Amino acid sequence: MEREKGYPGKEIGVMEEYLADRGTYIDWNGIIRSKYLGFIFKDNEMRKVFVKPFRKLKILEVGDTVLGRIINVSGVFGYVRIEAVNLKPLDRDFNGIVYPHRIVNRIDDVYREGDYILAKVISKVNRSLHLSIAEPDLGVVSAKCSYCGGRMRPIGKNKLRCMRCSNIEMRKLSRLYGRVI
Amino acid sequence: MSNKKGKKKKESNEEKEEEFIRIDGRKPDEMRPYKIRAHILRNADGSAEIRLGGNWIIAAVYGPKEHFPKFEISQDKAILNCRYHMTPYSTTERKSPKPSRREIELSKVIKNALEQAVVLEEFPEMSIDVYMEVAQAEGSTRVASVTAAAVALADAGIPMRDLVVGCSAGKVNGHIILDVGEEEDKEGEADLPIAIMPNLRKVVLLQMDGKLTHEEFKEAFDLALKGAMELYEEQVRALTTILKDMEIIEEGVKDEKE
Amino acid sequence: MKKNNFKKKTLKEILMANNILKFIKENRRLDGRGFLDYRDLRIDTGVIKKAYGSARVELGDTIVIVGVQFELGTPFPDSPDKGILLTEGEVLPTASFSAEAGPPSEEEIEISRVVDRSIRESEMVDLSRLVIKPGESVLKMFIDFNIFNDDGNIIDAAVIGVVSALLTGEMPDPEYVREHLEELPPNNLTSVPRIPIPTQDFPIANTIALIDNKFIVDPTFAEEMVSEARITITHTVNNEICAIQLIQGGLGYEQVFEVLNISLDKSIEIRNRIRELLGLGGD
Repeated sequence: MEREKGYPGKEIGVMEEYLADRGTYIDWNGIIRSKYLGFIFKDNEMRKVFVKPFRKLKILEVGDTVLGRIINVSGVFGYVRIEAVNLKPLDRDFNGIVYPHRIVNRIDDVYREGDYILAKVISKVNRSLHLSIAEPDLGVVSAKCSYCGGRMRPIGKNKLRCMRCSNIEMRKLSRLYGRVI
Repeated sequence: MSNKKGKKKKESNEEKEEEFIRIDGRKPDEMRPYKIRAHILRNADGSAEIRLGGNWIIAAVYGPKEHFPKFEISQDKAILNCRYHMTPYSTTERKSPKPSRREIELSKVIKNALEQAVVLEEFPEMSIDVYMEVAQAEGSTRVASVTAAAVALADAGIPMRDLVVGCSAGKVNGHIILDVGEEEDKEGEADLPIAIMPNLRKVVLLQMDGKLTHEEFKEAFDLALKGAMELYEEQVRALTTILKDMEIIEEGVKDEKE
Repeated sequence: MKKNNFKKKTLKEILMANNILKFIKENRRLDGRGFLDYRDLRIDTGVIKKAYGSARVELGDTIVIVGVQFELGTPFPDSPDKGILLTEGEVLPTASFSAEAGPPSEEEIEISRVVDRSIRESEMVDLSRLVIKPGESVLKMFIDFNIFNDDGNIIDAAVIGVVSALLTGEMPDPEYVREHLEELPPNNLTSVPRIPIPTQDFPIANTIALIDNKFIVDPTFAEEMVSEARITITHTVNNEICAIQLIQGGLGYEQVFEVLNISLDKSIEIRNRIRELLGLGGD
């Protein structure tokens, strides 16, 4: 595969010659053009061209692991303000919705307002980012006691005890509880 | 210094018709010296600066990002917010930092020009902010701004159909000139700023004030196109330079091979 | 490749867009006009008794009222021997369901500046005749237009209105003011005898919209909403171009010249129509 520099609007080839893949588009005259600043890859065996953008957009993609704080719980849905993606802090706001990982009686046993969670983006349809915590590494990574606000320490699977008032609460805990934040 | 020289030249040449020399000593179809640099601000997703003669414009792009307020969002494409703004010290007389009517109008026409190029459909319900700050103004700022903004957008990694590049032409003392300077804008008979998508051969910004006949318009339009193509080369040069500078590229290539 | 024809926003707009597009494809327009036909034009002048010049223009369902007022003022330091001309316009909340009171929007500012440029750059008003004492005192001319009902093509209608108001309007006699400057009550020019406004040009603006790669003139509100590109060109009486504004979208290089030719023809036609309506002979 050969590669050359591409920039928006640069002519790469014609429709008859190549298959226009990622990062390219075909204009009104059937000419394949680059959409991004990046490198053009021409695959002469597969007869296709694509452009690899050299700067990644700071938007969330399906599959990203995010760290966020639950700012509101309504029904079973938790509204999450996302603060970091793949443990890199973000300079802008993203909001998402998280669901319980399985059917539960009390949503308080999964997450509560104010918890920090590690979650994975599973979908971007319908105006919001849908987050999942159904993996051992995903779930609550930091929580405060709902009575006294003290720090909680895990004492077994999905169980937390307040270090100040010994109150015991349930959460869907991440394996990384206390190690991320 | 060069300015003085230019004025003298003009005076001595007033009788001679054949070789028209402009206020700043340029030939009618000569651009001012220009330079574009991409990625000059660290925080912005994309940024660029342009120097066109005495013009100095810094453009920055933030986004795509979630748009607020939510009720304004458009469901099938991103919203492009543009702000063309002149700093108070950009002109000889202090300009109030409050956006004037002129700036609001120019923001709107620049927004329209960039909207034609950016593939907004890829980011529904989001917004992209483009800021153009004129640090020093010396005529033809709107076309220089749109040129810098296009480089900043490309630098931000935002998908675009084409770059947008602008240039102006005008008429001074009966002569059609390229790249209207400050004095020429004030004293000239007409001013024609245009911005084009050079590969798709589309005009996306077209304004004119002053008087031109249809023949003169054609001449001025063709001259402005020529100037725009010249600036386009500089845009491409600025963009491919940052492509070379970055080490990230090599990582990217490895990714692709895996 | 998917072709995005319209700036679709709501269901209503999509439906309207589809209707208009369907008609345009059949070389028809919703109101039965040809592509290069203007709607009916009606002009009443002198409708505002308190203004020095005024006009009410109806272009189809678009209604514009224009008033011209004068004031004493000092000239700008860079042009001491010229009067001051200010054209400003506003889309009133009465104009349409979506029009709102409050600070002007981007579009409103653009409209008002394009109309201002059309009048100013054509040098329709001989500003040197507005001078009372060079460098000290001049007449300030305010042209205000308001859109009362918006059915598209505001700029054309506003320029027609402004031009009609200027052609039929009057102004305080600067000679008289110069001689009686001390006796005049401050900021009151009502007692001054009036003369016709010194006009030397006749600019006409033409808005052309591009829908489905076809050019139509005088677009209605709905047509403006679905147009791919829209451009306004103003011609002077000598068929020179004096203002251009690409309001929306983009045009191919060749299309620019196509549009210029259409607008030149249309400007001559509209100018003659205004002359007829105002009872002015051709010059």
